[in-house]
Amino acid sequence: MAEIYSASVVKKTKVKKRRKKKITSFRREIYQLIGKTKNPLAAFVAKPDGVNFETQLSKEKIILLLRRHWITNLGWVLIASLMIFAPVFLTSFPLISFLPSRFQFIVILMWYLLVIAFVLERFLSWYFNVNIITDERIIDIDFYNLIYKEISDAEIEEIQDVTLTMGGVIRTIFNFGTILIQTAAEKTQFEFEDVPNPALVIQVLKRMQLEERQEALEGRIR
Amino acid sequence: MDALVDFILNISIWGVAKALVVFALLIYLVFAIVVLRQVYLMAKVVSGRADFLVKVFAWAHLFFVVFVIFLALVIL
Repeated sequence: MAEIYSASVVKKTKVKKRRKKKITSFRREIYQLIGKTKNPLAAFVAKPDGVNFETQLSKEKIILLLRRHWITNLGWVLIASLMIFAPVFLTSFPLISFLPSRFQFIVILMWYLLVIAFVLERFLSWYFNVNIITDERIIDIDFYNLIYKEISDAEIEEIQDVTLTMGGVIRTIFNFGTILIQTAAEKTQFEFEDVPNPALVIQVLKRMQLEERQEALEGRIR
Repeated sequence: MDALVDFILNISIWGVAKALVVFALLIYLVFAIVVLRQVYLMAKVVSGRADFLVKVFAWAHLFFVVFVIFLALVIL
């Protein structure tokens, strides 16, 4: 009787070890796929160090932090560059020459204040509008302007359908696109807009779903 | 009544222009304060390693606005 009992315990332990190995292998696969990013200003930040978000749970680990691809900033960077050099060009077209020189000086300083405001607003919008994939959830943080924000999240197991949209020459060359995620959560659609390596992001999501299903089977849901 | 007429006649166009410039800069100062406050709120929502840099930039922006207002009051 004791032998049968001990054999059963050994068998159960082996099954547990095998399951545990399978879970860690999912995660290991993900980590091998995404690597690790050290640049805090990157658009595709894998396993970021020192990054936290407001609604983060204890022991919740960030796997991916995504921003819009850097090439999407090119438009406003070009406009800002033109704005920086505009006063130099304006010497050929003297629009403010009727003003006394002291007024001209202040007007130019005010122009540069506007340039800084434009750059600051665009940069903040890029830097803080992030999509986060943790080991439990997907989170979409949107700051529509300087005074309005929207934070939505859904559990990984609530993800129902993932669609990748990647059209146009620029998106194909620089490998970025928009991922639409349909969920069973309160917010039914999440949009990861213009994120780099979208196919890789989808692979990560699929593996996270498998890991969550495995955890659910084993009754290890947090 | 004569004093008022004298006052109106003595208003210089550049004095009015200075007042308008300073008023515009004061409105911009409010905007700079809003930006600074917002940077802190955004950094509270998502905090990363580059937050310090962004905060320094927002503070520098605010100080630059204060400097321009001071300059406008002095040289205009």
